[in-house]
Parts: sequence; C-alpha cells; structure tokens
Amino acid sequence: MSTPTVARAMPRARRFSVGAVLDRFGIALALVLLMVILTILSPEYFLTRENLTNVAARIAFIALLALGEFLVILTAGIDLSVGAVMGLAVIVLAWLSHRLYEWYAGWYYAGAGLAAGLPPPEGPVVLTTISVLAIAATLGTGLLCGLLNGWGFTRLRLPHPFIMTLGMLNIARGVAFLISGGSPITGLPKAIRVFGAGNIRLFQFASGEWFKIPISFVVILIFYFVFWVFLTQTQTGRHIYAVGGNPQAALYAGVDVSRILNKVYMLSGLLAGVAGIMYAGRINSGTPKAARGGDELDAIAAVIIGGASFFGGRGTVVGTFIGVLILAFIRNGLNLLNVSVFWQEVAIGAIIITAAFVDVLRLRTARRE
Amino acid sequence: MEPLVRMEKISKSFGPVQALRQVDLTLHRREILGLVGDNGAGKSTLMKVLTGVYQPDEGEIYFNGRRMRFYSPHDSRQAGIEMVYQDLALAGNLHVAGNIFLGRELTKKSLGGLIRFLDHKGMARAAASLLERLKIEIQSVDLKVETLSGGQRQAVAVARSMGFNARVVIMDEPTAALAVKEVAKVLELIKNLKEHDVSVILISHRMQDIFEVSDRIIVLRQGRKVGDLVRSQTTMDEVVALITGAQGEAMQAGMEAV
Repeated sequence: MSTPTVARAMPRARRFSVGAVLDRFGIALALVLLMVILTILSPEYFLTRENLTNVAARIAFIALLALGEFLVILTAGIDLSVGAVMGLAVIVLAWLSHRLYEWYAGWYYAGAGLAAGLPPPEGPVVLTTISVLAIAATLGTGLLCGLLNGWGFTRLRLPHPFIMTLGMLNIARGVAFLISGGSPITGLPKAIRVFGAGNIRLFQFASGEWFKIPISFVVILIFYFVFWVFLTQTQTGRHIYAVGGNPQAALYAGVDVSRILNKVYMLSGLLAGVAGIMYAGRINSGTPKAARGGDELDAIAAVIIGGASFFGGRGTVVGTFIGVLILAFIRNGLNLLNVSVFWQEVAIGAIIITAAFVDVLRLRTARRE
Repeated sequence: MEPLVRMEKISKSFGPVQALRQVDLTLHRREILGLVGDNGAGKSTLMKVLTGVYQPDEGEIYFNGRRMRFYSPHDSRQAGIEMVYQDLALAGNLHVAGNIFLGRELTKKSLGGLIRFLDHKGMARAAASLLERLKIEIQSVDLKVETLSGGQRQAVAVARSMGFNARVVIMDEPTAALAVKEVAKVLELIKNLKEHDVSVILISHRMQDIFEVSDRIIVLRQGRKVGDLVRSQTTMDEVVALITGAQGEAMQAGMEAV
C-alpha cells in the first residue's frame, strides 16, 4: 500500500451546493427558523427559562419513544406498540413498587424483620432497593415486548412489522388495564420519581434563584449520545443501516439480518420501558391512561419530521432529536399563542406530510438510475 | 497443471426437471471462462452448485486439486469463490468503503478494550487502495453507492469480492444493465482481474463481451455441455449455433438430404 496512491483516491468529494447544505442542515435550519418565529410572536414567554425548562421536561418520554421508533424505521419497519408498551411499563413500575413495599412491610411488622433488626420499610435502603427492582422489572417488560415484536416478524414471518406491533399494542394495553384494574396506582418511591421530576441545580443567580435543568432532559441527552455512538461507530449500527438500505445485500454480505431486526425491536421496547419510568416519575403515579395510545404516533411524527426515511436506511439520531424538538415547540408555541388544540393537530399533520414529501424529493435527486 | 476448479459429471434435477446432466467444467488459473447458453440452459444452476447454493445429485467438485463439498455459499466463499450478483447486492445508502467492507468491517478496540468501534479511516484507506489496484475510477470512497453510475456500482461489487481474497470470481450478466461506455470499463476490469491471480467465470448473453474477454467458452444447452471451445479457435457463429442447437439440426438436415 503506497501512500501517494492513497492520497490521490482519498480526497473527499464534498459538494458545497445549496442543495447539499439544505440536505445536511435543513432540519436544523427549520428548527432555528421556528424558534425565531415563536420568539417574535411571543416575545414575553417563548424564550424564557421557565418555558424552555418546561419544554425540556415534557419531551422526555416522547424523545425516548422516538429514539426507539427511529431505529425501527431505519430498518424500514414500524413499531406501533411503543406507546402501549410505555403504558404497560408505567403500570408494572407502579404496581410492583407498591406490591414489593406491601410485602416487605407486612413481613417486617409481623415481627420477623423488626426482631432481626432489619431496615424499616420506610427507610431509604428498602425504598431504594424496591425502586431498583421495580425499574429492572420495568425495563425487562419493555425488552420482552420488543423481543416478541422482533420474533413476530423474524420467526413467525408475519408479513409486516405493522401487524405484529399492532397486536402488541393491544396486548400491552390490555395487560396494563388488567394489572391496574383501570385505576391509577399513585405514589412512587423518590428514587423513581427523581428521573421524571427531579432537577439538577447548575448554579445560583444573584437573586438567589437556581438555574436548574430537568434530570429527565439530561437522561435523554445521554441516551441520544449513546445511540449516536452506537449507530455511527459500531459494527451493529452499520449493519442496521445496511439492513434498511438493502436487506438482500446485507444478507449476501453475511449480516445476520434476523438478529439485527430482533435487536432493533428489543431496543425499541427497552426505550419504551425507559420512557415509562420518565412518565410515571413525572406524574408520581402509574396511570393506565398512559397505555391508551397515541404517543406512538407522536414518536413516528417526530422521526419523520426529523428527516428519517420510511423507506429505511436514511436518517440520523441528531435529526430525530431535532424532530422531537420541532414537534414540542410547535405544540408549546401554539399554546403560548392561544391557538386551539385542534388547529395544532392540523398544523402538525401538515408538517408531517411536508417532511415526508421533502424526503421523496431528496431521494429522487440523490439517486441515480 | 491441475486446474483451479474442476467440476466432474455434475447432475442436478428439480423434481421432474433435469437441470444439469453430467456437466464437466474446468477453470484454470488466471483464466477467463465464458459460460453461455440460452435461458434455462443451466448456467445459473451450475454456478449455484459451484457456490454451494445447491447440492448436486451426482458429480464432484475439485478446488485446487482437492475434492470439496460446499454446503452453503459461506463454504465456497471460505475457499475463495465469490459470486458477484446480477442484481448488484450493494446497499445504496452506504458509501463505497462501507459496501466493500459490509459484513467484515474493520474495528479497533476503544475505551481500554471495552468496546470495538469501526475503524473508519482504516477502511477508507484500504478501500481506496483496493480501487487503485484494480484501476477503478471513483472520486471518493465516501460517496454513497446510489450516486454512482451502473458501471461504477458493478466495479464496487467486483472490488468487494476481491476484498475477500477471491481466487474465483463468478459474474452473472455484469454488463446487462450498463450504458455502452460503461461496458468497456467493466470488461477492462474483468481482464484486469487476471493480473491479480484471479480466475473469472463470466455469464453473459452478449456475445461480443464474451469474445472480447474470454480465454475459453463453455456452451450449455438443455442442461448438457455442448461445447468447450478455445476462443481463438472459434467464431461467434459457431458458438451461437451451439447455443441454439442450430448446428445439430443443420447436420441432421444435411444427413437427411443425403
């Protein structure tokens, strides 16, 4: 391998055309534009710390659902169950922490634990242990739902992931209502609540006020970073893109396509479980309302607005994050401007269609036949 | 000298259909072998037997003098037999280097060996030097494959197979979907492979392509080998006659006339 030849073949053919710039940064520009417009229309409220912190805290669970949905859409699939799986996770989390607490308290106060000098059920040791167990079971629930989704597609060979995940949507929702009996399970240990409702104090203003950022926002930033690394820097990530681009080519190249698909649906389920922890923590309750559905559609909308292609193989983690922000700012901005919720839905619908059309245009120009 | 590939008396049937009947095929080192025949003559079946997609009902395969059994394409690939697929098995959304290394990405340890990350630079460098060696002209290995022309994609597919240290490259209709200008480049590439100690089996309907690059031509007709000709000692008319069976019929007609 001689260096000069390498140097000759290596130069990067970056085209600095308007089209290329728009293709790469178009979504980011759209976000900036949206923020500028909202700042002009709502100068008193939009760019305030309270409002932005509020948005940051609210996007947590949708951001996590969208991240899982993005992975699935990258493989040209769809996961309709993420909203319901999140709802099931919320219920499992709340139900299990209540049951574990009752079980330990009953046993403790019956004399056995008290006499042995074990920590009381209200103490931090027990509550934290309960939290850890409940969180583990919640994540396990998400993972299991995802695994079943993957198997439905790769083992049962159902014609399209739409069907398996539609089935899972109903199953997860049903189980969530069965466990909870249809009523909310209120009150969660602090160690769980902190993920959804906690804040990190960054610094203190002269007024004595603290500059705080929601822990949930930090959590999603960490998740997005980890998944960015996963998709762009690891072999499995590369294979996810390949499976989305041309599954047959991936198969010929020796990629275990079924295994990649199973992994993707498992990760989507796992992220729905994490979203459940955020959701329950934020409202300090396990409500079966979370399983009613609809959130999966917001997640899909965010992914599409973020520039991922429904045809698979195209899209970025950063784009998805921007898609989540755009969706959140539109809702937030229109709220600030007192626009009716129904008009918000109309606006979001129009934006989804526009985003998908932009993708079609992009594919038409990028591909050479 | 022992040929690189020797297929002996290969027979294969699918139910009542006898796809291959006692077909022999030899491929020498650094040889370009044209494999021709009408649709359904058994070319693809024969190649699928060689790559382990199908198991022959009868017959033996020798590679480098050793008797081999290929139970899957994985086995034949291990031996150094690579198939470049007609439908261009590339992922258009990945760049050139990504496609060349698809399924066998280079990685390096990071975070103290905890995790393996893709070695982007190493792959780009190796892919660029591979293209250079094969004299394939593509501006950058960072280009997405879907932005390349048909001929360039075909070249990437060939480069991909070469990256596996192929000894035999099988190409099924590599020029079928290409513009005239590009055909010449792909044929040039095929001839080039010889210099890299690679033998090629070329399946094509385009007689002029076969005659331009092949050293030898094998003709299949209705599952039988009806011709094994040295290119320099045959003509297009003769090969076409063998493909269509016209030669046999002509002889038959002549006999009856007598």
